[in-house]
Amino acid sequence: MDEELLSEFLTESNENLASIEQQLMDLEMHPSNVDLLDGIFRAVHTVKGSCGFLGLVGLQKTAHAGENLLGKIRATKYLVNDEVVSLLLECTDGIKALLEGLEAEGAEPDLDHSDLIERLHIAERMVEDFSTSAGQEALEELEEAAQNLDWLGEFDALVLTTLKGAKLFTAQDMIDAGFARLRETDGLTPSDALKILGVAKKTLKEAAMVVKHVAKSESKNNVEDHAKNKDEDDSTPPSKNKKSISPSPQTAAKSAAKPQTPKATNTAVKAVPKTGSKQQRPKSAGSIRVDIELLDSLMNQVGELVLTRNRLMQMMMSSGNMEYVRVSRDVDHITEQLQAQLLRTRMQPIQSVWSSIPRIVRDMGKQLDKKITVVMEGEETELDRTILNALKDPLTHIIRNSCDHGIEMPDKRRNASKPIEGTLKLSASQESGFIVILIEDDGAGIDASRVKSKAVTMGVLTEEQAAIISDKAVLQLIFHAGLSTAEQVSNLSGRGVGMDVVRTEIEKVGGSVDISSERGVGTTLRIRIPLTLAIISAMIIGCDGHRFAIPQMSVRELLNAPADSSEWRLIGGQPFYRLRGKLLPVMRLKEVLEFKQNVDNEGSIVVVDIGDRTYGVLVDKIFGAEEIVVKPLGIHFQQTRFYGGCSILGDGVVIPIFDCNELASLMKLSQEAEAIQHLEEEKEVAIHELQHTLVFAEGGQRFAIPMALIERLECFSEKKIEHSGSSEVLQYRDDVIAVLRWSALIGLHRDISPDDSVYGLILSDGYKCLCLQVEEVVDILEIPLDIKMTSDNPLFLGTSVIEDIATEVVDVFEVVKQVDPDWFSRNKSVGSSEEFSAPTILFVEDATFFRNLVIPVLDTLNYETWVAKDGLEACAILEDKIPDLILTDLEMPNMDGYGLLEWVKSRSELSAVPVVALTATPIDEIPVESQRKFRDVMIKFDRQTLTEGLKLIMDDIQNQKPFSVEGELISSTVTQGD
Amino acid sequence: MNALVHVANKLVRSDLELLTCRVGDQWIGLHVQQVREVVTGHRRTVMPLSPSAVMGLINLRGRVLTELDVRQVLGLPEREAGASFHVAIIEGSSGEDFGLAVDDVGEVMLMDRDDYEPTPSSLDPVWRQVSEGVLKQDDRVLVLMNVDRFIALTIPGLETQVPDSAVVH
Repeated sequence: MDEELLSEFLTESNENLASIEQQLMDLEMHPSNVDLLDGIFRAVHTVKGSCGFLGLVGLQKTAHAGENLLGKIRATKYLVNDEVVSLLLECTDGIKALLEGLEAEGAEPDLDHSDLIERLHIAERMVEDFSTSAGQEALEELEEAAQNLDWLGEFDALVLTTLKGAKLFTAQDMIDAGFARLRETDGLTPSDALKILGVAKKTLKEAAMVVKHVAKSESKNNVEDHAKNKDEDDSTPPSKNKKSISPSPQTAAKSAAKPQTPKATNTAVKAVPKTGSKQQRPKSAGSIRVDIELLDSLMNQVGELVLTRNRLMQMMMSSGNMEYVRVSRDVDHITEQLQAQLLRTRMQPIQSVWSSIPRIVRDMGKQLDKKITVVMEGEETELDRTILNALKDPLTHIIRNSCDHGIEMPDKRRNASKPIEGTLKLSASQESGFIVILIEDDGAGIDASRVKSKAVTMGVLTEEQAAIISDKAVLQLIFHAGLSTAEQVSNLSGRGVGMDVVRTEIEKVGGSVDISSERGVGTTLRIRIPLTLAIISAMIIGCDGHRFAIPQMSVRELLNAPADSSEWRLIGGQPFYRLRGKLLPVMRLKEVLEFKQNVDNEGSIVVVDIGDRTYGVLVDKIFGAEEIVVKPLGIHFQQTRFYGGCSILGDGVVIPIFDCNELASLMKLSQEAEAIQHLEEEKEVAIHELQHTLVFAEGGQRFAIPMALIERLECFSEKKIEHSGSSEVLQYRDDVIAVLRWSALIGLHRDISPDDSVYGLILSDGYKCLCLQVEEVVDILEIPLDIKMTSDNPLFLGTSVIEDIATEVVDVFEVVKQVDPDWFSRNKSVGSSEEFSAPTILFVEDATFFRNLVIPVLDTLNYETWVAKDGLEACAILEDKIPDLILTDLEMPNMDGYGLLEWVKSRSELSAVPVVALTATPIDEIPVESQRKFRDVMIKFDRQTLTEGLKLIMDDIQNQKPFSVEGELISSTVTQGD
Repeated sequence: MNALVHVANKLVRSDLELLTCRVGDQWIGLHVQQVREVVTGHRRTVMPLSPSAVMGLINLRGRVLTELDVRQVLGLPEREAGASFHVAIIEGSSGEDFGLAVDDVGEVMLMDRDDYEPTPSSLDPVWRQVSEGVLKQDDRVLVLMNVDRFIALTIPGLETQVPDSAVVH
């Protein structure tokens, strides 16, 4: 058998069959759709035709039986039911199995499909019995039409009509037309063309033998070659033979009498080009098939090129020669494009994996007696083929699980007043370098308590842990080996193997998976995977003189954490860092890698997010992000699984890459520490707001003030309060400060004898103080200042429940305004002024990564940050509120930074708002005139200049701006003051 | 060099081509077919928490190889800091290449297989595991090293009973 022909046949058939399942299922939904039926018929027919040509008997039989049934259905306009579709699906499965065996072994595998074929025959007879006379007529007409070319043998009527339409009748006609023309003919597949040529040639040869005519000696096997030859010397074919070698008198006679095409065939011909040309033409014209190994090796070489480029760039940059630098920039640019484009060649739409899902769901549904529809979104999302392949099995497993355990039985759904038909929704979307795949079902959801009790039984969780673990955390245990909550083990799923394999498989390609579920509503699995494997973006960090790479996809943010920061906690010997109210367990890399013991907490924290948990890695230094080529590690690192691979940096040095999932296992959290962490997670919100608060009473009512605003508590004699003009003052530390009486402020009148002792709260900010005189100080508590009700009285922020007593929280700002309305504005740049009014920044950035990088910086500056993903979103925000400053990225989709600037300039109300550009490109590469338009241009990565620059601009704005009366005390930004 | 010429001129079936290397005071022979090249002075990346035999990773023209310390595996004292050494790049039967750090590289010798004696049972157990035989020369004993067995010794989980004495710090 010609190998080239065989491989052509295999690819062709696989392509044809790839879509057939979907088409069959569509047909099940729309049994009267003729186009669909035609498409299916054509696919099976092509397979059958080609394998007859290649002498694949078993395959031909199976395909032929399927084709016959399909032909009958088509001819009789029989409306298929699900049983027939199941049978046809089984038939395609049989064909596929044979093809797979053929591909693997190069010969037809020994599979017995006689049972299947028998059933196909029975179905065919059944369809025939149903046939209408109209259908019969149509069939007869078709058959009649087919007779003209019966020397061709077992060809479909459709092909024959097409040939007739193209005025090709005799074997010689075919050969004269040549492969190229036959192939280009609408309705003929390349394999049809091949077969026709093969038969034509054979017929001619036989005829030649009969008439003892010496035929031109030609290559025996290579029909294609033959066709080409014929094509080339189109004008010189043995035309004299044309008439003399008419294969049989019968055919000759028929071809002489130009046949009229029957009406029924006309419609068939019309239907063909539509789908036929769509499927075949573009492929042959605009694309070629490339061996995937070739692409892989190209990919490796481009990887090397990238590395060499990095080294070259470093050398050229340090040379100082501008000419060199320019050339190397070009090299840099070209390499980048080459890399990007090569990556694209390896991309395939996720559809190629998803296409098998409807079939799985259909079969599962039939087996389980459930009704399930599949909805897909974003099938066109592209992924690296290596990743796609790795995804196939996990996806199948998840889908099976959802069908089996997720979606309930129809009556159960009815009782829960849900639609009887369950829905399984798959969606894929791209999210800055990642593909996020969601698999949602609207089934019963997962019972967290059952998972929990199972986990305890299995010894995965201790009773104590189970008592405190959150439901979300419990659900992640689904991915733990040995856990399956299905009460009954079915043959489909529920054996407790699987979900752990799912996770392992997904993590193998650098992805992560997590699960969320709501009882009675459904379950959602979220898979997050990198677009491509070979080249990743990584954060290069330094630790004790060593460099390591942490894949950027695991990095959530970077923190600067001085050893003396008050956010450090040591619990059960494990360091934690308090980040936005949450305790983050921190791994001291130096200790874990056994460089040094008992190190202090100096350095930076890389906050790593691995789906179900987040932890910090304490490192000495962060060098920045770099694109690196992932190389595998040798056999010696099989046990040290926290190394995910290695790479070579621009300077030629090898750098290990951490696998953050495995790295987490190096951090030995004591039980105690783990328990506390869980507890802390539960209390997350509470901790966030926890602050020292002073509670005082006046006239039987309670009031609270955050301690952060109180410098001292004084108890002094009433006599010390003096009168100065209309106001009261107190001598305090060589200064005279104003005294406000709380009773007066809230409209109470209280008689105080000059001999009484009174309490004074000294409120201070910078160099200014005032005394708030209150009746009684009750307590100082560390409590969450959770304001339940807002107050109409401007003096109060609202009401909070403190120690079960409703307590009014004092708005110190308002109080102070009573004395000195200018107090805060004058002190704006002094001390902790940001605590009183948070300046607002509109931050416009499209890349999630940079958003995550910059927002924490803005947070630490205590700015209130509004975030927009692009210029258009920013405009929408600006339509209804005005920030103090706009910080925008330059390169963005929809509307870029320049566009946004233009828009802002065009709005009079925004004229005073400075726009600062934030860029990833070196500033000197941005034209000066562009730079000038902005208030400032800053580099994204440079935290320090960003911080300082923003502060300067902000101070500037605040000083120019008249003090805004709308300023308010935001309690959550007030930190502990002691 | 003479030996090389010798090798080129006459290669008989029973002949073995060996590259001689020195570790400590001991000379070992590596099959030339398995040695790709010998390099010196490559920058090495230490891999924390890697198996004790692993010195680190080196970049050999864009390929990353694991460098193994022959001294460490064979239980010899640690090399003095700053002492120079050579790295023989060898090809293991698994297809992966490794770097073997040796103190010195001698020459390529052509030897008759018959001149070899079986490994004496008196030899240190670790040496016995890696030795295919010994060759007694005038002033030295050359141990013919089986590279695959040597590499197996360096991989955690694969090593056969390596005595404690093999680990010298």
